[in-house]
Amino acid sequence: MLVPTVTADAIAINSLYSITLFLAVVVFIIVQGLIIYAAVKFKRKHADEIPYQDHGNMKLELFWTVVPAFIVIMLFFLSANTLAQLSGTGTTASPINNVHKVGDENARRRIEEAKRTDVVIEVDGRQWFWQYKYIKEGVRHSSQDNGELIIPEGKTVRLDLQSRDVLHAWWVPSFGGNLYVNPGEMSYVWIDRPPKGYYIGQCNAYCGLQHAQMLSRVKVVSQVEYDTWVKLKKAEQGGVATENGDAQRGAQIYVDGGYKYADAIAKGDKNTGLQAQEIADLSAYINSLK
Amino acid sequence: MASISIPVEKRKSALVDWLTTVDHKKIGIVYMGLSFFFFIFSGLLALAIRTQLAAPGMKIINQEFYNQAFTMHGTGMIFLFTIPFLVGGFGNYFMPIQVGARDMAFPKMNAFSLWLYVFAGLMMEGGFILSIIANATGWGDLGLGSNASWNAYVPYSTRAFSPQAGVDVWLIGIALNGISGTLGAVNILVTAYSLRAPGMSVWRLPMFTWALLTTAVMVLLATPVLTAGLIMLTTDRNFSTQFFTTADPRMWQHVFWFYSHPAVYIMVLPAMGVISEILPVFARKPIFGLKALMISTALIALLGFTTWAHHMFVSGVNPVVQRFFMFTTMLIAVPTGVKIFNWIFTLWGGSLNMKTPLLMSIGFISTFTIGGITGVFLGMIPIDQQLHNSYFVVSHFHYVLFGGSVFGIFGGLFYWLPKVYGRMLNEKLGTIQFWLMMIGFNLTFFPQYILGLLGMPRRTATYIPDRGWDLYNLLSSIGAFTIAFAVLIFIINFVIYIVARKGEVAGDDPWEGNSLEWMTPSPPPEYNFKTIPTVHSERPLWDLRHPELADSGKHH
Ligand code: HEM
Ligand SMILES: [Cu+2]
Ligand SMILES: [Cu+2]
Repeated sequence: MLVPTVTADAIAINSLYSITLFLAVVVFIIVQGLIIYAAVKFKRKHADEIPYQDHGNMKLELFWTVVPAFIVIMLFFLSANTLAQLSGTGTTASPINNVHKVGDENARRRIEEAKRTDVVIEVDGRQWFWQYKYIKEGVRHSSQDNGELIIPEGKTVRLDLQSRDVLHAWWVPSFGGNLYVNPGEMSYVWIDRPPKGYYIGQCNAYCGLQHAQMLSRVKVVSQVEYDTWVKLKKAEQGGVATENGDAQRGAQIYVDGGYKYADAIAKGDKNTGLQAQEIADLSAYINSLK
Repeated sequence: MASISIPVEKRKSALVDWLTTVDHKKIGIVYMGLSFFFFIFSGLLALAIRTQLAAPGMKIINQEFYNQAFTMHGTGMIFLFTIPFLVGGFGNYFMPIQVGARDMAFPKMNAFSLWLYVFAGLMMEGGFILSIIANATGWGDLGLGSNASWNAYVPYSTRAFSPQAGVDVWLIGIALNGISGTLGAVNILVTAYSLRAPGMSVWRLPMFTWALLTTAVMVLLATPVLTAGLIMLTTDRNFSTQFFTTADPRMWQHVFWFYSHPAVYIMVLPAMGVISEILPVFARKPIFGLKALMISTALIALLGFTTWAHHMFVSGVNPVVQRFFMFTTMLIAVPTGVKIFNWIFTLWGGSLNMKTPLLMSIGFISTFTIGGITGVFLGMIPIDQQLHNSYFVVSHFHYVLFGGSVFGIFGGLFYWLPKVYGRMLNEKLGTIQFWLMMIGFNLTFFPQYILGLLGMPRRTATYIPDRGWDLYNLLSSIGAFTIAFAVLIFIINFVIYIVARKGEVAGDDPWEGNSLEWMTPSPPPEYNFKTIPTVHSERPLWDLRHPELADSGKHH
């Protein structure tokens, strides 16, 4: 794959892909080589040339039946093996379906036991944006107006996806794998300990007019930044932001891009355009938030 | 010997004659002409798509039109061009002659299939074209276009999310077209079963006929399922039935792909048949491993019915079931590979006459192989989970459908049009067209593999810069215009050398063909053969030319 692969899932898919690509290139070179060689070598030399009337060759034909059969069966087992390594897929003997009907408690339990998870985010797919609800943290967010899904680095995040209208699909290529999001069903995607960074994905099931604009921008931040962002977001959504001056400034920080300032503040960075006193006030304010 | 009713020359106007004909050859010609028109139309839509995607953030066509454009491009190419051209066009014209028949078994039903296809095509495209005109002239939106995408996934395609009448017109059009195709398949099967020349046993059937028969079986088993599904979806939309609206969200997907995976083979097997005719003729050698080729065709058709859910690896299908479909999908690569090697070894050691039909056939083998190899990637569940719905898939199926079917169709046109019109196409223009197509095709679609690996999803009307996609999209768009130019050269070639009759006179057998169509005059008379020939081998005409090397003399 030609995108950076940053999670264990993406890396596993990528190594399977690389093996397959290697075999594909070998087959490609053999076949194209034979075609080009034959086309150049066996051009008709004179008009009444009659070549040997060869009807076939059992041994050769058996060879190019058996060898490819062997290769594809090998690829089948490699794939099954890789599948079992991916997050939340269970084992080959007892695989887990990462999609189930809403309200199917047994299936839900299997998913919860399938993989240890640090952060759970409910994601609603809608024409044409994603809505994020952080369960433990109690904050809401959305992909509208370039909104980003903020997650902490090095933690395992589970997205519990549901569609509120038509089919959508969650796909952030660097995390590996995509999955349809269906109305009336839960779909589960894991983001396994991603490193810090900025990743763009996009809805990958045609969903109508603005399907092309249904982006999923993901920002993986440090734990401190994440906590700060959550606090600010919570303050804003809880109405704390309007109670005093600091809070108003806090809300403003959020409006200005929230976590970006939070990031700067957490690191004590002076290049934010804020005065030292302001930073101190804001830090105090953020620290005062629960 | 069948009795012939030699037609009495009643003076009918040419138009009435074409509208009322039941002659399989005339019907074949109308199929070819009309479906070629739909090829051009759907191709122009592809150019609109590629223009819009040439650079990020373009606003050349609006988003709604983009969505209709790829929907109509896809359904036009599949239902109105590739299948009717190969099965209705080549199939109708050449299969009866190849088996030594005077017409199809049911000539009137054949005419009915044709006109039902015409009507269905007008329904599918008519609303869309009216919508464009209405928009252009400022009447506003008639809502007669469909933007449901070619696989019309539920629930987007239901009334709740796509209320416009255009979707209904389009669905009914596709359903009627399916009925036309199904009747055509019955006709083909009965003809080949009951009207073969004496001596034409199964193993002596020409490869094109064999491929067409296999295709007809697939059409017969698969198409009614789609037709039924389309009608159910239409009643869901209009009469409040709930076949799909309240069903499992994957129900429509199963019905759709149960048809649409076999449809891939319906589109490509006849084209494989075409090149299996061309290769031995232009190599002056028998086809390598005739039986293996015929059996692999049948195996592909059989396995083709067991792989449909590989399109649903990210839809939430039960994982055990998914593994079953992964296995069948991997297996189908084997008979496909057998074909590729048998074709190459038909060339091997031959005396290759490098004319356009052979060039197109070699192009077919080369590009189709790439499509086949990338199909193996997509058959592997973990890789498909990453690449599903990406441009990798778009590239993969164009390598199969354009690199396979379209190259096969052009090969067939250069090979057979001299038979149909009695004149040869120009070789120089043909060679130029081939190279432009080959370069243009790879330039259009190879970068799309890279785009898919870079994470670009299909069916997106535009994209943002800075994702590393710009260059590959630009290359792809340049390639698309190169292909268009190659097709233009073909049209010029056809107009000058065939329509204006500037081409060399073809004679009965310009290529030293093997099968029975080369025994008849070019164009063949209405009754095809004065006396039905008796067949002694798989290459009856070769035997006539080379009695000393005749196939019929030896056992293999
Ligand atoms: C003339 C050369 C062609 C070009 C440049 C071309 C280009 C394209 C492109 C760029 C798309 C993707 C649109 C999108 O996902 O947004 C597309 C989709 C498609 N094309 Fe082509 N195409 C060509 C010929 C063909 C042929 C010959 C066939 C079939 C025999 C075909 C069948 C399809 C189908 C089925 C789709 C999917 C439509 C959908 O997603 O609903 N195309 N084509
Ligand atoms: Cu979408
Ligand atoms: Cu398929």
